[in-house]
Amino acid sequence: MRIFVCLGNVPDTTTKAKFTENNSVFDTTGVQWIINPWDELALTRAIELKEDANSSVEKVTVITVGTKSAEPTIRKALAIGADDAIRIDAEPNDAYAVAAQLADVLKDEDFGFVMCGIESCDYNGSAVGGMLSEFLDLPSVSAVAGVEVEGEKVSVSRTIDGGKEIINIDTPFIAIVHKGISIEPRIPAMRGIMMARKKPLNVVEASETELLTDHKSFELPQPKPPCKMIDPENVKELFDLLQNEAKIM
Amino acid sequence: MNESVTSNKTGGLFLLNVVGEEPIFTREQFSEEHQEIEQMVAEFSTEKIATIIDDIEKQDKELSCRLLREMGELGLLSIAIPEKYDGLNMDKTTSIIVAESMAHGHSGSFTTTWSVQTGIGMLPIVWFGNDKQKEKYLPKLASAEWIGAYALTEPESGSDAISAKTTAILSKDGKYYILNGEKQFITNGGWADVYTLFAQVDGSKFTAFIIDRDTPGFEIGPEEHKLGVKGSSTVSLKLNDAKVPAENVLGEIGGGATIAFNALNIGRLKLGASVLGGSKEVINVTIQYALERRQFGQSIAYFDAIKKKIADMTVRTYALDSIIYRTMGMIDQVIARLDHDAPDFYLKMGEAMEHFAIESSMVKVFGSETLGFCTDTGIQIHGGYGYIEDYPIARIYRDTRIDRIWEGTNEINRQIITGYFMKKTLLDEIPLRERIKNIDSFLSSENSISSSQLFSKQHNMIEAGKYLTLFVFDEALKEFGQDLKHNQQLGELLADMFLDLYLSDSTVTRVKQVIQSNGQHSILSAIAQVFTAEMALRLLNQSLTGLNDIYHGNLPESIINILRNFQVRLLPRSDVAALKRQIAEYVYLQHKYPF
Repeated sequence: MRIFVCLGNVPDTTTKAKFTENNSVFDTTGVQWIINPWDELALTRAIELKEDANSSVEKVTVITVGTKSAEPTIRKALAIGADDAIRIDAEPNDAYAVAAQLADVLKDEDFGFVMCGIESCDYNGSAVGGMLSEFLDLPSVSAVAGVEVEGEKVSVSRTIDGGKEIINIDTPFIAIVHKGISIEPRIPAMRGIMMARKKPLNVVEASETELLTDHKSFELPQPKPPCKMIDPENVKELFDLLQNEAKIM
Repeated sequence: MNESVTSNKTGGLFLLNVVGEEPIFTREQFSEEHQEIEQMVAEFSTEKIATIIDDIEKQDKELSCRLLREMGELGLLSIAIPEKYDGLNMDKTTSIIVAESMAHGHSGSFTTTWSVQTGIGMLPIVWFGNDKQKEKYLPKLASAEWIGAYALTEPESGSDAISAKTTAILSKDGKYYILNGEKQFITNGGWADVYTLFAQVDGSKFTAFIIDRDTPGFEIGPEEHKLGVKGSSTVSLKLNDAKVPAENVLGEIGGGATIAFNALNIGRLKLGASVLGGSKEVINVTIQYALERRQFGQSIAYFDAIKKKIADMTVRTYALDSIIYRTMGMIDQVIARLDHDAPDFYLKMGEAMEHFAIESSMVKVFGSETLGFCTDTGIQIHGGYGYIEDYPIARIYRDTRIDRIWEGTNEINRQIITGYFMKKTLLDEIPLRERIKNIDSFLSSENSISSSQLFSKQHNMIEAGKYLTLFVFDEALKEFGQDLKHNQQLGELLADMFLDLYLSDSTVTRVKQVIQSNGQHSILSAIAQVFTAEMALRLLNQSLTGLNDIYHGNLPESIINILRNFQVRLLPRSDVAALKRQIAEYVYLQHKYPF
């Protein structure tokens, strides 16, 4: 069985976001790019399944919509243990376009399931996985927190209010994964980094896809106002401020 | 690495070459693989080390050994080990990148443990072990199933290591050496399974042995209570008729000095890289504090006195970075040309590294003093909070104090710098005497670089600095000859002048290379200007002190005239204070050391 893992190339989560062109374009100057954390957890689980002698998973392929600048991120996925990679050569402009472009390549591929992170940590759209399943006309399970493969049989678990739901599912399908899919992402080993350069990274042309969204502008949250310190003995002032200034009492 | 990066085959040539004449290797030329390794180690250090620092500080053997095993699984302990013994056999630059990036873990203690495991704890066996020894020890050291240590220092022999008193006598049946003596300050000693230990065979043949922990008669002393790196193990070792199998002799009988000293050059470079990473981390935690801390209604980072301090830390760190990777590039290039399959490959590699002993010592001295400077300045910026253990900088301050002491004290390393320049001059290994002959014609000439060229002012100042240093060096040699080595104050002063020139030459060349490939960068340009201006003032000061010592306080008029000539050439014409403001403000905008 082959598993595809969709990778998002996103700014490091500690990035101080800045915008240009009248706050309409994200300023990528000095930004460190990483694998979207949910996708990285999915990749880790996919590799664990491949290593599990009881599962039929034989190959893990990562697939990304991105320009050449996304290749270091893809190489990291190969260093962690993916067998090969496909880069669809386009800017990942919005969820609809990304899902359509992924579907256009995946429709011709043979796989057991495709894993997508539930959201990406840049725009947090949470839409690609669902749209992808629609484009491919395949079932999908969202908020997947565990995947088990025994032979050819696949079951997924979801964390639900007050418990856990376990579903047996026929392949192929789309797994939209959540935290818990694996404990922590893997750090690539030196040999992995060296071998990653020898693994196939296939670049394919992107299909023509219309954009359904247009970023008008971004807004940063207001900076936090300075903290007011009150003498612990002065309860009266505290109440006064909470009532009249913060207006929460 | 790009073959054209440098054609320097031996150390010290920077003193003769024109600034920027030859391209130098810098971090801007890291391969993609180097960058990926750097990032991987940063990730490991941030996630696995920095998160458990307090536990590491409790000197928890199991914890540190577990971390080492995790590093072993990632291949981070086998960079220098040949592929035949499960190693990766990568270039020296990779080792240096790993050492630098380990600083993201903020743990001087664990870096110490790791550094011995991958350095002096295993390299003597990699370089001088026979096949049987390599097969037995290297795979287990690479996985950290076994921990390694190196036992050279004794209670009465520290810097003078070769005078060790530990004895080794062959047993009558020829099967064992019987060792007696004591070793001291042995890092990893309490936890190690394997020790490279030095002893005098038959009283005078200084020889290395591989000692297994369970050797009869081999005792491990209690842990020392140290000022810093408290989470690492440091013990004394006692040998009371310790029975060491004869096949555990490492290398040749009497060949101990080569083994002991070969480990030192790479050790000095790795230490330099560790403190480079440390300096960057100290800058990061300090600016974070300075930007958040508000006094008199504003962030203290924006007070002029604080800007100067941050700029000083940044400029020094940039210069250190420049000399480390320049040196590494030169060494790797020479090693790449050697026949890696030849039986004497490691001997040749040791020789290649010794050619750059000057630069390796410079990296050690300037690196350890830069982190010392950065932590001291960082604590000052933290104010009272810097003095309490809730902030990381207090621990880093304690941890780094040892860096000026081990891997050869900075005093020993300064004597090595001047000593090697003397040796290279007297043996004509580099044509310094030819250049010294040109001093008069230099003094009667105009500036050599036209003012339209990039950094022409800095080029001319560095060139003048080189001639001034050679002038003082020549006067010292004329007065003292080989006895210069006994005038240690003058030796240290010359070492500092040589060092300043290597730093300024490397900094200006690196900035020029970056600007030539990426376009103008006002902050990098400011760094080059500040370093050169301050170097020039230091050189003038040191040359005056040195010449006064040589002439016993009675400088002849001819010497004073020469100094005046150099003074005009070295007089800085840059607004250093304004440049430092620009540098600090740029660093604040990036929220971290940005280069």
